[in-house]
Amino acid sequence: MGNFLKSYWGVIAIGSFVLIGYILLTDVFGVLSPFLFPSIFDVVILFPKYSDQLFTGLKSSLLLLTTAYVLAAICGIALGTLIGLKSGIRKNVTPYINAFSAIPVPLLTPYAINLFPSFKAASIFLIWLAAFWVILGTTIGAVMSIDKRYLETASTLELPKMEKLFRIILPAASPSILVGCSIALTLSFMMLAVAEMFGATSGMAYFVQYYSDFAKFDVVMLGFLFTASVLVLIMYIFDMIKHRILHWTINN
Amino acid sequence: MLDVSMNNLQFGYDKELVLSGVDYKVKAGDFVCLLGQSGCGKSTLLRLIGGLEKSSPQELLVGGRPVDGPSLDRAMVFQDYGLFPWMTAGDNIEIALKQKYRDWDKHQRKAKALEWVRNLGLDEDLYDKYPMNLSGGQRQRFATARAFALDAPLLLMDEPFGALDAVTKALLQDTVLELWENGKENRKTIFFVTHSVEEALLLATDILVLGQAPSKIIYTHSFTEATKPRRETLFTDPAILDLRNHLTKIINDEINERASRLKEEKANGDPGKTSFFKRKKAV
Ligand SMILES: Nc1ncnc2c1ncn2[C@@H]1O[C@H](COP(=O)(O)OP(=O)(O)O)[C@@H](O)[C@H]1O
Ligand SMILES: [Mg+2]
Repeated sequence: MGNFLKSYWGVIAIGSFVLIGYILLTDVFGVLSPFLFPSIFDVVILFPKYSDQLFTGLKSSLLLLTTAYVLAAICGIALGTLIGLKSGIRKNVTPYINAFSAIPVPLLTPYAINLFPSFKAASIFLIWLAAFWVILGTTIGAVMSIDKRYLETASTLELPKMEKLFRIILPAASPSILVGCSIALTLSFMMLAVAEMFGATSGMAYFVQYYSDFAKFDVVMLGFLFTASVLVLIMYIFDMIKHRILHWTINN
Repeated sequence: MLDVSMNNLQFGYDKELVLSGVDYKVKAGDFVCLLGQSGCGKSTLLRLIGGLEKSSPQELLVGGRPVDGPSLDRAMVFQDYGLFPWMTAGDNIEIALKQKYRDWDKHQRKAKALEWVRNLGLDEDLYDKYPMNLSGGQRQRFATARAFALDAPLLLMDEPFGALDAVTKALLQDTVLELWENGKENRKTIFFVTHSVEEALLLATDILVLGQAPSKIIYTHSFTEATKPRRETLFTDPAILDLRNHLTKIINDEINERASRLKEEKANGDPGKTSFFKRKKAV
């Protein structure tokens, strides 16, 4: 506990500062509109009442998000590695990658709804696509820019193809690939919100959307706080995984 | 244990030649040191022998056969980048042994790797560390340990100790020399690039000096078992001192000549496009 406080005291200090600022602006001086910015105490008190809805929402959001993201990471890294390594393929597909990845994924929403049998499948597709382009692009770049000397050392050791892929190419490219993965994660959160605006019956973004339609901004605020905590937790887990993979780099 | 014959070997990365007719035969078990100013093509020659660059088939023969790509028979040690930073130092050796001795299990590989780690005077505690946590000297030792553990008949070392402090360098030179001498009649053939005349004198049975690019061999010297310098005789034996001065002079003359040619070009050529290109070529 002491250690925790020691390493996070800055984070805690900033959080407290913002919280006190909010309380001053609302409860104490009443500068902000109480309708749009309800007292934090009124918001927190709502949690027990809405917790069931929030957690059901969390479950369905996470299902969409993880399915889409994991699939995007697998497809993006696999295809990106292939395209990055084979200049012949790269030459032929690059124009198409550039063209398709330029289309903003939210614009494809109507197509997705009509093409896929269910809301779930359509949402997963949209989140997948948004994350996929980013991971694909960064993986291609990462693999192409691997220091030639590592590959040469690998070839003097006559490493077989699979060994070379998993023990040389992917680790060498992993720092850049992970940068792409973390951008893709942020993008998938956004696409999740877009996807839950249609057809969803539960979800974290759906929750916020639903209660703002009724102008219940205290509940909306609760939804924001809940979603933000979940995102912080997911990012924290992501960073832990990242540090684990990149433990051999100097910056870690 | 492999002989290398360079038959009027020519090579260039693009249109311009880097090596223009390198001609020399290296007997199996020789310790060849390559000297020459930077940019003259020493690394290029090593990369050709290692199979990292492609030569015309008959111009370069290793063990009587043309070089066709890299091979475990020709272990390489570079100045840096030898170890993969995402593997522990020990794994860096084991991954190589895994290819060389395919039927060995993990324990056998580790035992062999540890044996070479000790042979190079490394502490076994370093085995599980990552390269970033090792000193430059320790990293170079692990890279050398890997090359020796592979037991390749031909060893190609490109300024392996160039970046190390004097004491570490001397220790590693002695180690490499000792490991090579211990091979007795099965000695490895070693190509060793260096820019230090002293290092070449200390290690080599054969010293080759490359001229400026496009380069040829401009000077060679071979030692016999009896005349081969030792660390103790390096600065006392008059014959060796003479040779050392002579080698230094050859290399410096090359540098001076190049410098004056550059100066001349600068003075004569108009300062436009042409002189820029000429200068670039010369550098
Ligand atoms: N991969 C490469 N592509 C093109 N030119 C190269 C490459 N590597 C080296 N050269 C050129 O070849 C020449 C010889 O380089 P190198 O063999 O590295 O010299 P040395 O090791 O003697 O310093 C230099 O002029 C260098 O610029
Ligand atoms: Mg060099």
